[in-house]
Amino acid sequence: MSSQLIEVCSQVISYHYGETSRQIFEALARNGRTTLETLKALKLRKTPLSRIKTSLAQLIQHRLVRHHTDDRSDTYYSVDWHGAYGLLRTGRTILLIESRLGEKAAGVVAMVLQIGHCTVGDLAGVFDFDENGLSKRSNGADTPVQNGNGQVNGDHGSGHHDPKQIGSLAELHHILRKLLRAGFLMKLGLRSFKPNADIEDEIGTLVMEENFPDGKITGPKKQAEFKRSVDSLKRKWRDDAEYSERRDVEGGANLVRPGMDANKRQKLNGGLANGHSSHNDEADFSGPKLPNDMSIGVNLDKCVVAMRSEHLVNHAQHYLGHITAGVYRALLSVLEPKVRSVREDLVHYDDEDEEEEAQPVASVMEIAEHVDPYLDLAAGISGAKSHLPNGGPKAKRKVSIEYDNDFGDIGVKKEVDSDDEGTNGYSSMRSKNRRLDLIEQHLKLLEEHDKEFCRRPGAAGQSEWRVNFPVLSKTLVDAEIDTTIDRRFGPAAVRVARMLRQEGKLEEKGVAQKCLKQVKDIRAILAQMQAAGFLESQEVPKDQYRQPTRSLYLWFFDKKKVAQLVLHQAYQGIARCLQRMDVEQEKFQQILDKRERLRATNPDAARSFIIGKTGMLEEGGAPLSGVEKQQLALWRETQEKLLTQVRRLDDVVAVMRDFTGKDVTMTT
Amino acid sequence: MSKLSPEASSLHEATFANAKGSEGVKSYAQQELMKLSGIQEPGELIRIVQELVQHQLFRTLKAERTLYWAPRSKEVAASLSNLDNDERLIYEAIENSETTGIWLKRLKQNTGVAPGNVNKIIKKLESSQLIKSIKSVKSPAQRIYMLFHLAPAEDVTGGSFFDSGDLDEGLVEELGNLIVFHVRSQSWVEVKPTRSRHDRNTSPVDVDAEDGGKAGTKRKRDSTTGDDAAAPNKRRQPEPVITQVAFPAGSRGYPTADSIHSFITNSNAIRESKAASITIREVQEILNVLVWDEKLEKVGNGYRTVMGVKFRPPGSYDADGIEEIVGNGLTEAPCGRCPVFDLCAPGGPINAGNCVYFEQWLKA
Ligand code: SF4
Repeated sequence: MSSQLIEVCSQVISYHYGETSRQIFEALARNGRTTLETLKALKLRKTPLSRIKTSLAQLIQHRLVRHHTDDRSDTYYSVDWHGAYGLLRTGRTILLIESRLGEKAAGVVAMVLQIGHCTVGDLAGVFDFDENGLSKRSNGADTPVQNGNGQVNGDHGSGHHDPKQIGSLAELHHILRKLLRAGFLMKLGLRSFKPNADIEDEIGTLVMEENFPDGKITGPKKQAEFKRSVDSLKRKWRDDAEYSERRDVEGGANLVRPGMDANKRQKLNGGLANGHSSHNDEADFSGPKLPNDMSIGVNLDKCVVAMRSEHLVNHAQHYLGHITAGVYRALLSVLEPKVRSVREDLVHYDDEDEEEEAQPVASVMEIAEHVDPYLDLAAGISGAKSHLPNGGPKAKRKVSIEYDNDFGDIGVKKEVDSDDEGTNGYSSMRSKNRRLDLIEQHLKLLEEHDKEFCRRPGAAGQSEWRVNFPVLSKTLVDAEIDTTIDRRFGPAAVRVARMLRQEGKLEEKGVAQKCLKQVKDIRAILAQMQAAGFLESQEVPKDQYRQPTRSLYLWFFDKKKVAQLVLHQAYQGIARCLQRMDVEQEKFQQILDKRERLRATNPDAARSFIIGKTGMLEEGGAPLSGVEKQQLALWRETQEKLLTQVRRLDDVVAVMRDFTGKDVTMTT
Repeated sequence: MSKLSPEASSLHEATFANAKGSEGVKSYAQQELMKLSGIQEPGELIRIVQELVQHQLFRTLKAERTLYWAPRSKEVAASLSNLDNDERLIYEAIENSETTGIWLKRLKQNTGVAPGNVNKIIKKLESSQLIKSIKSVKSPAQRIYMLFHLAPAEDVTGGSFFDSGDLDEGLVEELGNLIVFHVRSQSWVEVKPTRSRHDRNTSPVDVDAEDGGKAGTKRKRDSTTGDDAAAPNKRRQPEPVITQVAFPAGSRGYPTADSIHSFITNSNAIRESKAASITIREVQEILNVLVWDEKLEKVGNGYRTVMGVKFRPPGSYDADGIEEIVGNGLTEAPCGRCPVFDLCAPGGPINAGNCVYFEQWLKA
């Protein structure tokens, strides 16, 4: 395990859970699986056992440490890398969920993140609903609300009904089900707390006992069979552990099936142009309840899927503009719930084609439901007619469509929202088809692009679309590497890198020739990149004496190595930012302490939340003097700056490590 | 030396005239000589050829057990007959290297002429305009010689982008810019930059009492069906300005290497003699580079400019050529550009706490 990653994780853990937890985590991280006794003997001789136990329990509660008890009833602890690193992403996770499922859902997730894992009953307990399942509280401290710049203001205390607040138990269950279905929350079973290696062992033993009673798996045929059985049992266990509306919901059998859902949704979407939801929220919460003893936790893998979608949309926007990217966003939104995780380690594909075949598909109808109705689809493609009805100028008076003079000459009209949904809506069949047609055209643009943002798997005529995530994830990795090279070594170096990636190994002169650069310039670039670890060279002797002067040097680009390099540098960058933040914080310690005291003595003061150091929600703001406020503002600014940097570095980590789902450095 | 016989003279003239206009060195086998001279009797032909060789008007080449003869001009032949043996050896070695030229060192090795002598001879041949020194792109440091009247082969000169052995980066640059200019005009429909077509903030739908300013569309889907899909960003930034609109997928009007080549050869932005010498392959080389630079992207068989790529008006000079590059989290953090990155560790002499780069960065 890279020491930079350990640094990042311990830094975050120490911030949230204190020094003892950090020590435990670091000891476990560096030593691998360890028993409590060894742990104490190793690093924590001076710490009382009870303290160690409490901290360990806390780490397990937050799914940062996993444990396994073997046949001799020794319990081994080991770190959960994904969980620990995930602490850094909590703020972002909340934002991602908010953009997909709304503020209330995001609030619930924020709460689960703060508790660690919990049962449905525990969570309901926090809300403190009365016997009728309605909220007893008048303030919404528990459901923080985000505003644009990452600050969360939970202004409350007002007596009237707060729309951001979950009003009833039924609503909470409704939201939880929504989150579980989307995969942002997951059901936790006993196995969720075991290290994967132990689960794997367990499965291996089971398969051995059942299918190979003689205990022999010699020969390639038997080994393949063994592997198949192991994978199928793994799949079964995973499927069993997964949330299912049918199994896990009380009275789940009479649920509305997803298919029906879609029909209903589509009708509504087609009928209402400006998305004004006419029905009220409470109407829908009558669904079934989740069992109170069900354990739930946040599913970080799913958040990675969401992050990947965001990155892909940005990438598409760069090449094809925001309108086409908007359609791409819709396509990805349809696919997202169908993608379990970026990691599909239980299926083995023979080749890339097969892997692509396994990716989910979306129909153009489904995509249309997710396209922002405000998006002016026609403006993104030359010669396309608007799908909005009454496109001609004569319609000006009938419908509230205004013409912007600047747009007049390209035939794009300015749409003004009309209160009358009937006129503005896609009431006519023709405009609906027109819209589908436009969406399809955008999809075709995405397909046509060199990067193949999407593809049509089916036969011609059938409009189904698929995204080849494995390949595109690699594209994102390349792009991230190229950006890094660009900034560090300049555009000529990017040319060299891209060229070598395409052409393989080349001699210095060959590089210069292909890149149309002077040999002496190329030589400097190659040397610089090699020194930084971004290029490799291979010596090919020309004669049997292997004289260095008579040797040929072939240059090449080792993608895997560079990706690892960038990843580790990003880790180190994050660690340094966090460490610096500690140092900076000390400078402001006095004022921060004072705020703390004030807060303790004056609990009724207006409170607000900010996304704290590691992205967790923190409270900020309290009555202070002008100078103090300035100080505090200065600290906030510093913090904000460092945090933004951490977030951007985390983006690099996500691209390099997570999106391909092929990373093995973090297996527990 | 005896005077040239009329038959020999006419054969020389025939071959010399025939060889003219063809590039490089042209040589003739027996059959071809028979045809050119009309002499059918081999013995007779051999006699004439030998006579020409003696007069330095023909030189003999051998390839795969067949003999060939190549004519020399009368002037060259005349100067050759004035050379001594060593000089002739050197000349012939250079002559045999044809349009590739021969390296001085190799010349010394191959001819067996005393090295001290070679330099003297070379100087003499150069001054009598029989040979010249050239520069090869493949080995710019070597001194290479070639017959005076020959033009070096393309792999020696490096092609149109090379100017006496040096890459003409200015030309490559200019051509690249010209191509981007040309391709861009056919890649996108340019639109007058203008603000997004409606301003969301004034939209009545956004004021959603239930939802505190969240876009209403999403609300609808969420609450009616419990749908779990992503909806577009709700709190929108102002929409990006549209300046380039794509042609529908499947459009095939994008320029290809061929069409770009003919554009370049026909445009008068490049010196005419240069433009004429540029081959399609060379255009393709520039296209590859432009793709690696992310200025162009391939669409079908053609090319289109990457959205937003700019060009200088052809012929102008780079005034504000600094393109804004947006880095990533790594390159924008102080550590991403830190010279002591590998030495930095918590608790070490260089650490995040005492780091000066962070100091500057935080102040910036
Ligand atoms: S903290 Fe400072 S010294 Fe350390 S790597 Fe970052 S920039 Fe360099």
